[in-house]
Amino acid sequence: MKQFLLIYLAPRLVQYVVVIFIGVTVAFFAPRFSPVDPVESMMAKVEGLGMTMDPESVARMKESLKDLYGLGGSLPEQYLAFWKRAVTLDFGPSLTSFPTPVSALVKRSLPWTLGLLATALGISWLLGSFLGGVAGYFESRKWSKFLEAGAMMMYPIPYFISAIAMQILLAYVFPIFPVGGAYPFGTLPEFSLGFVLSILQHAILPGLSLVLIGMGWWFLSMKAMISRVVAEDYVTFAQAGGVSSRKILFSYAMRNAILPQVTSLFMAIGSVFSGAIITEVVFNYPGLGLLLRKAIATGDYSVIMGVIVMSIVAIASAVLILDLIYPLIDPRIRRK
Amino acid sequence: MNVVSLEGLKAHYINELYGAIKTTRAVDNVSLDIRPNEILGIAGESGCGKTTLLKILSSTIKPPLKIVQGKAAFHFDGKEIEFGDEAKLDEHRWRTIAYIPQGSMHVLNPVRKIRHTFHDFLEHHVDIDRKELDRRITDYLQQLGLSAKVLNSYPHELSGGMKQRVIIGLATYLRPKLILCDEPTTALDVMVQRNIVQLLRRIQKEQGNTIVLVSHDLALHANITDRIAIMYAGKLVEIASTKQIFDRPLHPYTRLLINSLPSLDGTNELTGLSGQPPVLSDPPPGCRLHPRCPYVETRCRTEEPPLRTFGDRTAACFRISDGGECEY
Repeated sequence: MKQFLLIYLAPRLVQYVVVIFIGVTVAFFAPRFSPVDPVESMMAKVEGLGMTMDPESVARMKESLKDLYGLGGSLPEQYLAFWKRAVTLDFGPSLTSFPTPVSALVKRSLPWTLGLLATALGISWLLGSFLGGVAGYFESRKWSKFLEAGAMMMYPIPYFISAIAMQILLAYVFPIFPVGGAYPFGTLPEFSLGFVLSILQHAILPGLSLVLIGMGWWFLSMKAMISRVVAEDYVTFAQAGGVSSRKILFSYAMRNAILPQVTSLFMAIGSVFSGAIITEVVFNYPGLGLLLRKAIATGDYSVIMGVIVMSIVAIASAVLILDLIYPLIDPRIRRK
Repeated sequence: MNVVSLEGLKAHYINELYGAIKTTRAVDNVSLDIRPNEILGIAGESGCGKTTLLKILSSTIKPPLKIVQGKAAFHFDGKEIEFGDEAKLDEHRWRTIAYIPQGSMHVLNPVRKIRHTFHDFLEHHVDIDRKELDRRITDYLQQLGLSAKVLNSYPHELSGGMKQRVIIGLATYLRPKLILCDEPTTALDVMVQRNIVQLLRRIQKEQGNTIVLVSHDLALHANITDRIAIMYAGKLVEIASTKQIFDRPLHPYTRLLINSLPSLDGTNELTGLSGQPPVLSDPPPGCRLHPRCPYVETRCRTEEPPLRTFGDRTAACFRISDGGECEY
């Protein structure tokens, strides 16, 4: 156990910290190298509204804006302040929804995104991997070719087109599902059966669009993987040995082909935390993606930084967890 | 009664690419009887069709490989089972016919413990509870020189020689009538090779199985086999007892193979065979060896020599007299 901690866990924790450090540092410097100055553009916006201000109040406003954006002081000072914000998860107030703090905005959006995206990801991963595995194993069957053709047709369609097409078809032409939103417009979230059902009803359409497109990818990658595994010696050997084909399919072929799928799943889980911008914009779903898009459109610097830092931490954590559980699913890792 | 009889068997790899059909004649017109309790070696260069022949024997034929022509049957307990009769063959798979693949690294499922692999292979054939089965498997593996710990190991925790022992244990636990070995000692070092060969021979003596052993390694054949079938370019060119093959080869190809081996005192002159074996999708007409044969004559180029019997042995060459003497 001690050896495990030292040899396995310690290097991975160090790597985890280093990845987050580099990620946050890049997130700090990248916008500062860009020619867009958030303070100036904010000022331009204010002036564009037709307000006239005396130079003194302009200077004061610039000063307080700089403070809000974390742009006051020298670069090293800003950098340290940025880390302080990142560690305490306090990115100051949002600028467009002033004075709501960024953390409150994220807290409001995160559950919607997680609920929708994580569920859709789970369903599409399970279904896509299972169908891809079975279809890859029975490659010569008609239904397998049919499924593959379906996945191949679905996969290359740009997502925003299929999402809008589904919306038009299932919300407008056949109004089965609501057009958008996470719950009926004008109601307040409450904990009742009726409200939970209406949340589900609102989530089905965006969820379905995500599942269909995600499944195509998981299906194709699992199928490609399994057709390689089926040619492995251990599968041929088990077939010659009369091992039942169900066992060969699940314990031999799928069990080995699933390993890279698990890796991809964890990467995808990490990116759930940055939201699905297109889905949330098309279906007007109040998640992180919508929040991020609004923040980009309005130049809400603090919100952008908050979401970016959170997704850096989320992806790095997902990879760390993957690293820690991988020995459980692949015994070959345990010895190294 | 022969265990296996093949008659004029043709098995081809048929690939279609952009509408053009390419046929690789890996096994072409092969007739062979495998006798009970013998160790039969099949020898030849890489790409001569010996592994394909073994795939047919082990009934693991997958497209693009296809049996095109010929008759092939197993004979177990006085019953004849035709090749391709999957339902009947499944009954005999592993219980009567076992298969030992190349001693390579990937024959055992890397994410499955040896214990579970054993259960997978034996569950249809033994009807005792898991604990008792585990005990018997441990006993059996110990007879093969493996410790009890092996059962709870993953394949990557075992050495190449141990893995091959596990596979041999897996294949022989049910005392099958017919064991098919495909290069069982490649990728193993000489000492381990020797152990594996001795183990196979010991098991064969105890259980009285019939073993078909495919290898390009003539030394291995000399060591273990009773009879050898020499293959060249998808055809059998000579079948004789191991002693006859090494003492007095009849076919030029066999003779050249034997002459390429160094003798123990190192005094013989080593000769080889020049050129490359033919591409099996486009084999030469006549005798397939003729472009490389130093003893070629006119009719070798156009006519195909039939397999002829000389006493207790057979060979396919025009330049052997009816009395079984080489005329070259």
